[in-house]
Amino acid sequence: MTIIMAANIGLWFCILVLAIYTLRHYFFTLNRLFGRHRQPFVDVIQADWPPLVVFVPAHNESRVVRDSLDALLTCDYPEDRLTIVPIDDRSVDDTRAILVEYAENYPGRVRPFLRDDGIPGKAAALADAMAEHGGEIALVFDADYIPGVRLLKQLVAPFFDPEVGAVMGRVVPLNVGLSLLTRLLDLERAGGYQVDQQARMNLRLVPQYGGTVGGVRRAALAQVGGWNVDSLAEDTDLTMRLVINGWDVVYQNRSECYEEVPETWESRIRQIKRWAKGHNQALRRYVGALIRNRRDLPFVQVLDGVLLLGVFVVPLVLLLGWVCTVTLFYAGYPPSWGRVTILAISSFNTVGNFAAFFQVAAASRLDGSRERIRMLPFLFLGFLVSTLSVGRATMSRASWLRGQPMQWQKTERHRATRPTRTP
Amino acid sequence: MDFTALPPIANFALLLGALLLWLFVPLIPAMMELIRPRDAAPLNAVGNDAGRLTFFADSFTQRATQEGLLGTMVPPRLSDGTMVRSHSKGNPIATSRKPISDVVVVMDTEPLPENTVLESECLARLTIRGSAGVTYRALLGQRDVLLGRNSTILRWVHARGILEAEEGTRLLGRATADRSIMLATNVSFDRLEAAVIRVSGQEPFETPVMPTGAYMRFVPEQAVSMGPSYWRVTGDLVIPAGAALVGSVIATGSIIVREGARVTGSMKAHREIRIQAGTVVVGSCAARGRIAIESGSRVSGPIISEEAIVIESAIVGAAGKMTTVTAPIVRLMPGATVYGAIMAADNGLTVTSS
Repeated sequence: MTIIMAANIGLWFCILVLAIYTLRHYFFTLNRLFGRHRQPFVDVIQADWPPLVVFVPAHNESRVVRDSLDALLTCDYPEDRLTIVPIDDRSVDDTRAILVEYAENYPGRVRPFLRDDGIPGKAAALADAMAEHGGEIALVFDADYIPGVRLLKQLVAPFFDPEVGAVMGRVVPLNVGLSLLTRLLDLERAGGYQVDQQARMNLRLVPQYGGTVGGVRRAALAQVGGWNVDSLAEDTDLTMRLVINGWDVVYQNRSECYEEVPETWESRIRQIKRWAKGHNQALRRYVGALIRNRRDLPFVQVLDGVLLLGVFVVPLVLLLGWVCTVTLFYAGYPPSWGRVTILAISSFNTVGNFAAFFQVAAASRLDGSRERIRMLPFLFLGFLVSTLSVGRATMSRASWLRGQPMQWQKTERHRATRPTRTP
Repeated sequence: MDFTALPPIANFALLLGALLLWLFVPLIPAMMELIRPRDAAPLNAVGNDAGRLTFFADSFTQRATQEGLLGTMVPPRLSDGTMVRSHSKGNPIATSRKPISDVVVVMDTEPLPENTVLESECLARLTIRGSAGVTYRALLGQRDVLLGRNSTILRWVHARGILEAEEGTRLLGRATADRSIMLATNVSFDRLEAAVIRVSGQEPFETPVMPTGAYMRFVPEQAVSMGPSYWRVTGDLVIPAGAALVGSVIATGSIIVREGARVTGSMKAHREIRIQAGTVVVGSCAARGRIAIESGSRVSGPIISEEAIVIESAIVGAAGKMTTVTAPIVRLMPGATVYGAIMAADNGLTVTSS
């Protein structure tokens, strides 16, 4: 009977949590479809632009880093105010030689930071590099990102608001048409940025600094204690610390930058596992602080912050819900309040499961994509893989609960390995 | 059909088959898109026109050059078949109630007939003095452009020299000039950019900029420090007359900068910002509510409001240090001077009083 009661309670808990996230998805989507688009900084086109340092952390990125540096060098940011700092973090391929070559070709503009020891990982590399380079504003791009000509100014513009601690731009997949996976990731990214992030910006909630295509104010970073070098998701970690300390995080939907999404399922699973572990690490660290600071922050920000931190626990909750349901079914004990339960479960199955699909469909419409929306049914596959991967990452040694140090795993690049098409 | 007559396994198979068929329906277009992609290119992430207001004018200049519109002999039609009509003293376009769908090249300073409607681009090879009530889809002036009363620009106008708009003009879309833009009162606009933008009718009063030491030093009381010279104030903040605040400040209420004060740093208010007469702000101003810049003030950095901005006879930016004024609603009064860009997402207007 104890198991049955636990399964009953577990099921109700799962339904409640999933219902909250479902409502959140719908609310965000409806906001994007019918609400006012808030982008107060997008029109800042003329200004006395502040000194800017762009950091490009790279670990074995020889296949992609040239494209990124070339794109940064053609940006229209005033040359005398811009320093590009590619960071080589113990690469064993040609990354270091490429960075040195760029430094020789663009003296003063490209200043590589070469790293052979210290704590591994992006956050630690950024912390070391930033200690050596000044500049009021620091932007960070991953080595596979290809910014447009005007992107740097667009990302710096929000910092004219002194309350802004960090800025995030939109990530747009470049290698969309290569496989089913890349097409699904393209849809997921559209939903995540065009709807989710922008809705949070519109509603003054907690847009997330994503660690790339974005930047941070050095004063804000210093005030919150710098980069957490043991963090697997330094972006979520920093977002939460900034919000807790009263800084704004701004999302700019028009500040778009191309990236290379994973092209193999193995790579994708590794990526999502890393995100899940890092995110859950941030959950453990900051959910308490966020709730304790609820008097200094608007209630909606605290609520959204907690939900944002818990987003990678949701697949685990979903799995738990399935387990509880199956247990109750095969134990021959219909859940108490049977009809209500059936209604709740069926409501979730008919409405809840489609919340994310609605979000992606709305994003495709807002992007003006007419045909790619037809791929929507395949998202079931992507969600299933994500759910299992996140569940496994969250369960694995429960490392996020024990706070064990974790290793940073980079996403595999494919750009240069792609076979060239012959006419 | 009597399903009861079938063996149970057949019924089960039929049910399963129907279910799979039902599930497969939405997969049909998905499979088709996967096999024969029709929309698999990366999104056009970086719009060429983003952040450059002269993009269309530059494109049209390039096209006009390629098509020979700037040469001695204007061709009768463009390469895509669009007809071209010349307008000059010797060969003027006749007054017509019908809109003109051809590309119009104004060869000299002869004004177009009043109330003419141009549905295609117009190229003015010399200084153009527009008549009253003319509607231009897009206008490129190789020299100065003077728009007559109640003229309308539907998409963009660019002057290689000075752009002047008389009373009642509507500048929808982009209005840019290489040198300056001079607006009369009751001119509506969306986006303006020039080395200097000024509203006629009053000379701006220029406040002398004195060194910070000439002012009484002011530090906000009961403020939370967010770093060196960086404060957060809960509630309203008033910077006293004649005082100087050195650093950046965020107020969860409104900020009022009293007469003759100086702020060396940036300001952010969750409500309104009011910069009173004769104030100097060396930095930017951002507010969720309204921002009012009173006469004789000077602000160097961008002014960003999520609601509205009103600029009296004050100066924003400086020669050689251009900046941006951006808000859904912008109101400019006589003497308002902005070096750089003014972006009014919903509605911009020059007015005689606020």
